[in-house]
Amino acid sequence: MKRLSRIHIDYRTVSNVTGSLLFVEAVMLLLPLLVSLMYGESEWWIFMSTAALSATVGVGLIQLGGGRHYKLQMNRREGYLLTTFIWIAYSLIGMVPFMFMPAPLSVTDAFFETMSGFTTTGATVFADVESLSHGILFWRALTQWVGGLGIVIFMLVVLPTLNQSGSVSLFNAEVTGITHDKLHPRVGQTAKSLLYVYLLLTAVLILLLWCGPMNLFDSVCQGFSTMSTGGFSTRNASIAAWDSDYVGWVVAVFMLVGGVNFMLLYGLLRGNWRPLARNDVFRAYGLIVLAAWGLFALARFINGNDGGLGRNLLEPLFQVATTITTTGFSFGSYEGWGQLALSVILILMVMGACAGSTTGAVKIDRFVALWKNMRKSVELALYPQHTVTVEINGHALEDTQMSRIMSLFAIYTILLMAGAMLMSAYGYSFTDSLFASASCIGNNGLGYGVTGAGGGFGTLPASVKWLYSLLMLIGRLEVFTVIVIFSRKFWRR
Amino acid sequence: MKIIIAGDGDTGCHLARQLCAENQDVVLIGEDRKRLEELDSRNNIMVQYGSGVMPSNLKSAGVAGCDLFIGVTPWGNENIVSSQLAKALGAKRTVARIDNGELITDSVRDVLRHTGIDIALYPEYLVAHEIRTLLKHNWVKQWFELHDGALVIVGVKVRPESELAGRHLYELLKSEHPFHVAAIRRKGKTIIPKGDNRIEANDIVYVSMLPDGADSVAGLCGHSPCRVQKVMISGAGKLARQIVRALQHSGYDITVIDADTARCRKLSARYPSVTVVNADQRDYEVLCDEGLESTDAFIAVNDSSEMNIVGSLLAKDAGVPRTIAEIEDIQYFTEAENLNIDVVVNKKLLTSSSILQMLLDSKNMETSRCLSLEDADVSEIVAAPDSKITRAAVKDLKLPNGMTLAGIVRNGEGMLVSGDTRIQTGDHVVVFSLSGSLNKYEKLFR
Repeated sequence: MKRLSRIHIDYRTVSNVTGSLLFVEAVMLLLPLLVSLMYGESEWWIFMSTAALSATVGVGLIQLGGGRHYKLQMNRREGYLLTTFIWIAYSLIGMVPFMFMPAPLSVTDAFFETMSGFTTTGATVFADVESLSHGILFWRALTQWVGGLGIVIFMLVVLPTLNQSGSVSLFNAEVTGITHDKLHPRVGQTAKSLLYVYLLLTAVLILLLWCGPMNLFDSVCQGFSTMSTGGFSTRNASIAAWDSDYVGWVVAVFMLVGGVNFMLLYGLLRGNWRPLARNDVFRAYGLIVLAAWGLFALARFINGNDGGLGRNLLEPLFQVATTITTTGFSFGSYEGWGQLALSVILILMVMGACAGSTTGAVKIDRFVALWKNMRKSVELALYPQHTVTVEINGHALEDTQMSRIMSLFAIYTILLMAGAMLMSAYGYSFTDSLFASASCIGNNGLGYGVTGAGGGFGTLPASVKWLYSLLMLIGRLEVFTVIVIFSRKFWRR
Repeated sequence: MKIIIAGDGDTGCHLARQLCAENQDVVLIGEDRKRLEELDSRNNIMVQYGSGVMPSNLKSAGVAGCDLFIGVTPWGNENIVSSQLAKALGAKRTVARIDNGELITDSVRDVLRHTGIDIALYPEYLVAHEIRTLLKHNWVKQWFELHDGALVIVGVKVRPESELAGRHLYELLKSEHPFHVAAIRRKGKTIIPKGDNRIEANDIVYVSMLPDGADSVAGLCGHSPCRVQKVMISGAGKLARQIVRALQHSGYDITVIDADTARCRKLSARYPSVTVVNADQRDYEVLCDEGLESTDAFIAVNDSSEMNIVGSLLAKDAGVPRTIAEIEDIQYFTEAENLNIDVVVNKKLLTSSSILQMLLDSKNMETSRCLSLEDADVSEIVAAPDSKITRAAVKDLKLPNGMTLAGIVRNGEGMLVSGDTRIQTGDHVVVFSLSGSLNKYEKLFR
């Protein structure tokens, strides 16, 4: 019998896989290169050299990791380490174009912007995105689209050698949710099906946007960052720039679709709607969206914003969608809707949408579990002899899973407060700090006060930007994947 | 190929791992949630919680149109029912592990096939037959026949005083022996040898040979095939009964010892010619009274692995030339192999390897792993038309390190491979390779 569990980490595997993935990023960089060439912009050489850099580093890492035919040894530790490492490596290469464009960003800003892109946060350091070239704008949108479904998912499809047992640990480290369900026996096929759903939805969205007032370039960029619930826009005023109800409705609906579990959407596309309709989490998602919609509409109206029936319905719905799906587009300002609306927005930002979607934050699945668990705890306080079970979608949650959910929530809260604390240490108001911190760890990208109408994320001090970049990554990979790397037990032999 | 396995015991898990390593689509149905989670997080398979006898579980595992359904829960009846359900719901082939020896007799086999069970496997029967083979060829550790014995692979220990010990492989090539050394196991590691490798004393060599080469191989390794006459079996359970049944017409003098009176009675009633001793099988004096010292083969098949290990060691100390122990816990298997026990067998591993072998019969598999050593595999690959392997004589092919062609079966006839052999389309080629590298070599045959 083979000894299955190893303690030591196979660094060659880590280096090897990262190398091959960077090679894929080099191919990705050719797309903005083409866009630059099409628009006759001088930036094309930046993408060219970044792609060359990415490929060179990739080949170097593959050689370092035992060459192309190295037998990968992937276990749980390699899975965690690799997933985290890939996201950081992608950001480190992806930031290069921002550092060499005509009005270059500093290292801090470039890293923040790229991490914000890949983690689909959408918080931007650019005060004026309209001055950016098409190539750069397209690259920003592309990072979001790739990060939306997850870099690893993409790679499982692109690199067939990864369709093996070891990759399950990568898949589990990146895919969000309480349990990691699969659609098919092999991870490669599961990834392929998810990507198929994603591609199809993105294509439909781009077509719909193109039918409206947007040109093709804007439709593609907006389509990428809507479907990935990212939030980078090509205009300073975000979606409001088009001032079109049609665009507003289309984007709002597709953001909400992006917040649904893609496994369920896959079933739906194959004509199997029942699992979706019977899904506890999806129902909770629907109810919360409806309730928040009503509440926002009321708050907006009471605070004296009246823009006709269409706008009175659309603006609140858009706000619910952009907040709960952690997209971060804006369509009209919510800063004048009163304090209640603000606190609800903060709660929605922490909540997020369904697990297995492209959204960030804690996810409704966990809130449903926490809510049911809370009710059972109250019951137990009254009737200590009762045997209680917390179930979601007909599956009972084990105690270990429940405690994992609770500790995730606790760590999430601690990190959220730490982020807010650091920012308020620089003299920013508590509300602004809390909002910005929640926005980053939840991969949301909305800003309020100093990060909203008052300036944007670009005005924050460097140390806060670095912490927020880390929080984005921790939030995107659902806390444990990144946090375990910092634990001593991870490294102990 | 889509394969559904119902049962998450050792057999099911082992099968799932092996099949997934061969790039099959595996869904495992089981009721041990912890175990499933662990498997799911480490293997490229899908797991489903629940019982295999529930049609709803089978359906959501995708039984409609699956190529193979394997029922391997510990309960035979459950496996029979789940296989029948699977067949009715659209599985192309079904295999069930049963726990009743009568169901595998030829007359009943057809009845089972009509009710939806294509293949019934009885692990005790498999073990009994393995033991029968090992008693017949009592100088080997492993005896494996391909294509009804056209080609034989044996694993045999090289005695220090033997002719092979200390020889280089190229010396053997010159002397034209009718066998081929395909792998050497030394200190827990498998070596796929080249001409300049040396065979050392106490190595276990895996040799492919034609059936008539047995005596020569045995002689070279320092074994003189001796005839086993007196067999002592420790334990009188179900497995012991199957072994007695398999051995009863081979002319052995069989003694069975068990402390359980009911078991002894049952065995004695069914096989009156066997000496049945109702005494504690751990009692050395009783064993000696029953002639342990003059015993040729000691077979320990109690329910407890520990008892089998200790019993075999005891017998070895008493001078029994050949000891065989059944080890139920797979975890102990490797350790037991390293002890001074001649052969260890395991029901579950035998069951899963016989299921893996069956996969070759299905048409869409051109490769099948027929034997798994600890870190090497023996596979049978069919050479496709115009594949690389057929284009030149073996010596001109520049085959990579880490694999060796142990032999071929052409039109049902076994042949050994020498440098001048040229593989032809449709040959079944037996390949030894280090674990996990098979995919790389398969290309040569496509």
